Amino acid sequence: MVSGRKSCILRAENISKVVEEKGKKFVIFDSVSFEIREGEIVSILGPTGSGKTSILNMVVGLEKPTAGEIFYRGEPLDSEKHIVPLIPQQPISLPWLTVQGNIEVVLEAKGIPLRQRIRTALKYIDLMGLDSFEDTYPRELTLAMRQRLSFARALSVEEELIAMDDPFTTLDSLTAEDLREEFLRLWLEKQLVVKSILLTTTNVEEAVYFSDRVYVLSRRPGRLLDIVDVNMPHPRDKDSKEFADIMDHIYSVLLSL
Amino acid sequence: MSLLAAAGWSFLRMLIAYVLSLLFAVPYGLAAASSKRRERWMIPLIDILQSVPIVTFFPVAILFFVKLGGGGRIGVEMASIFLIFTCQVWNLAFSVYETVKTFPRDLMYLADAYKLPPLTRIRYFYIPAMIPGLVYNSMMSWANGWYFLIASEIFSVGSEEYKLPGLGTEIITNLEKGNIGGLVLTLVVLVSIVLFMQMAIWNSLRKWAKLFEYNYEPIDVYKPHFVEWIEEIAYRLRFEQLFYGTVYGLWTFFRKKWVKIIVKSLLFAFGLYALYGGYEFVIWLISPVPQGISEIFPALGITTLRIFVAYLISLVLVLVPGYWVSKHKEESARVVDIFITSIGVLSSIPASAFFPPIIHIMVRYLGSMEVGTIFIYVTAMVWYIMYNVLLGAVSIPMSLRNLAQVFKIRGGLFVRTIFIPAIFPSLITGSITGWGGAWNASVVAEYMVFSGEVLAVFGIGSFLVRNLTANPKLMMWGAIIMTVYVVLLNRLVWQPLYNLAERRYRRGEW
Repeated sequence: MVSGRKSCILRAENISKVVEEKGKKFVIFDSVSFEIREGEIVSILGPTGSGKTSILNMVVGLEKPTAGEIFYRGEPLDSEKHIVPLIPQQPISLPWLTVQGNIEVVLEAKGIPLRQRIRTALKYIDLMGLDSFEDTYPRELTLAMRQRLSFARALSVEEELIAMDDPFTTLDSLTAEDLREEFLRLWLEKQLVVKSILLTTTNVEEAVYFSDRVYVLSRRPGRLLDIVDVNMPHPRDKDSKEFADIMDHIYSVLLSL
Repeated sequence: MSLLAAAGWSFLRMLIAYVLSLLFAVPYGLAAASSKRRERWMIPLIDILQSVPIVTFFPVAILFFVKLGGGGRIGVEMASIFLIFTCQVWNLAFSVYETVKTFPRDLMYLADAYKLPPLTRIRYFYIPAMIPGLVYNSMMSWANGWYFLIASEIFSVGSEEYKLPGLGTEIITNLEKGNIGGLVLTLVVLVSIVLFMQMAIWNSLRKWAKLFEYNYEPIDVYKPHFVEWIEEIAYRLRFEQLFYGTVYGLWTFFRKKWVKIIVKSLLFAFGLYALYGGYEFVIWLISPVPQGISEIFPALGITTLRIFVAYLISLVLVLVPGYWVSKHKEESARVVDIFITSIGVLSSIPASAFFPPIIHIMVRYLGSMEVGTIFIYVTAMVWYIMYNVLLGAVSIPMSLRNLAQVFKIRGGLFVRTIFIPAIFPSLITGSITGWGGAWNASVVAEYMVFSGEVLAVFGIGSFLVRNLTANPKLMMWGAIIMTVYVVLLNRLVWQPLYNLAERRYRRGEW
């Protein structure tokens, strides 16, 4: 199941989230475990309300699990120390900074000197197809372009792991397809410094298309239903029998409850 | 006992002035916002009136209202209510105007698509949309009314002086006598009323008003009991049909051609009369031009300097809690609530009521009251800025806070790239109202009487008050020049900053 030699970047062990509202306890998800190794794309697949976003928030340091623990390179995840850039579902940017400024600010937060900041920012602007939009303000961009900015920003800090919270749903299906293809190409051509990707999605095809491994979650409270390895070489043929079989398997797992 | 009666009188006056303010502000704001031609003169007009210091209205109050009442109690009461009205009305009118101007376009399309007639739009679209702005501004209007009560119940021009039973008069009388005990007691009564209103009325109205904000963020829908009672009573009395029936009747009446002609000619006649009055006024002003006008300019300069220093102090006092709020989302909503309650109360206390004793001591030991005056200016402006900035800081969206946390944008970088830009529009709005408050407060900050002794510093405020009795004509010159100066300052400094804030740091699409 686990691809042997490659070292583990992030591991979640039996993490749970319980929230209390007006005296009632709600279990968001319950004892979920997963791991991400170097060079992998891992997705967490589940219906709305399975706690995917909450899990991702824990990985990037916005929330803490009620029980269980997350390890980053073997040590407990410390939100003050470890940076796991996030690409949120809806594009978020600082409206008063230009495209380039929005990227430079996260590089500055990382303590990168000015000249290198500019160089890195321009590099990722180029990679994500935002060239000639450096000086544009986010509000002048289309939704798709703003999401590209989110990608460029997350990639530019050149951490080994990035987290994507269902980043394609906000786009229309054609635009989403373009962005998926483009991102996968950059990934396969090894143009990115990032080593691994954690993706959440509600889209079975997307999960199978991208991932080396899919963690399938149930409806609320989210529980791990299955772990599906996808050992197909990229680029994957969505019309192939193998692809369809894996999708069928995942659907049957999701619908079995 | 007489103190409670005084409180009752003051409250009653405030209430009447407030109701009149609402009745004036809503149609005025609607009228100004609904036609480019009207907007061109109606907005600058209230801009000017709001910049005019309260003492300028004394002659109007006396010449018109006191004389109208034949010099009797009723006339003086009307004059006093008019003075309170001038403290309460302008920001309400601006608020209505802004709501209508910034009314969401997609809702407007909806109204267009269903071809809703104007009155239906006002009733179901504009009036509900006005509520959040009106609630906030009502709170500010009441605070402002209390703050200037000491100048609304006791007023004089030349040798004529009028005073009415009320808390403002109580305060002034106690100050003049140097009666600290009486002063404290009066302030306790005043603060109790203000605190009660804040807790019982404004806080619950603020919570209720969230329902009328145009977004679909989840909130606890809440309606205060007294709003339900008012609705119940209004329903029983068929008030709504009656009210809208009257409005509808008036509306159709005033749209009739012949009525329009009559109204226009009346307005024209009134305009002519006003022109004639203005002419008389100008003649009175320039024949002869009084000595001492040259004193006005250095006085304005030094007052500007004082307000500027007070502004810097206010900024420090505001930005620290603002920064804290922007960093602590979870607890901050509750803390901001406590803050706003305190702001409502603190901004209502006339600083000039408790400062004179302190300043009296200050003058004795420091030989100058400069520091005290600057602090009165701080009390007149800091609350507006604080209110706006805190609300701005608390409404920094979660997504931006998360962005900062995920990418570890902290410290100076956070302040420079997120905190300041995010609160910038509210900071400018707060600063504009704060500076307005300070200009108006100049007449109580720079001149006061304690225990028979006049405490004053050179400045435009003390210039106006001194000349109110000594030389009303010179006072008028001072007031006019000050108003022009303040309006120019607004146009040349604040308006561009406001436009910048709107353009670059506007809320909405983050």
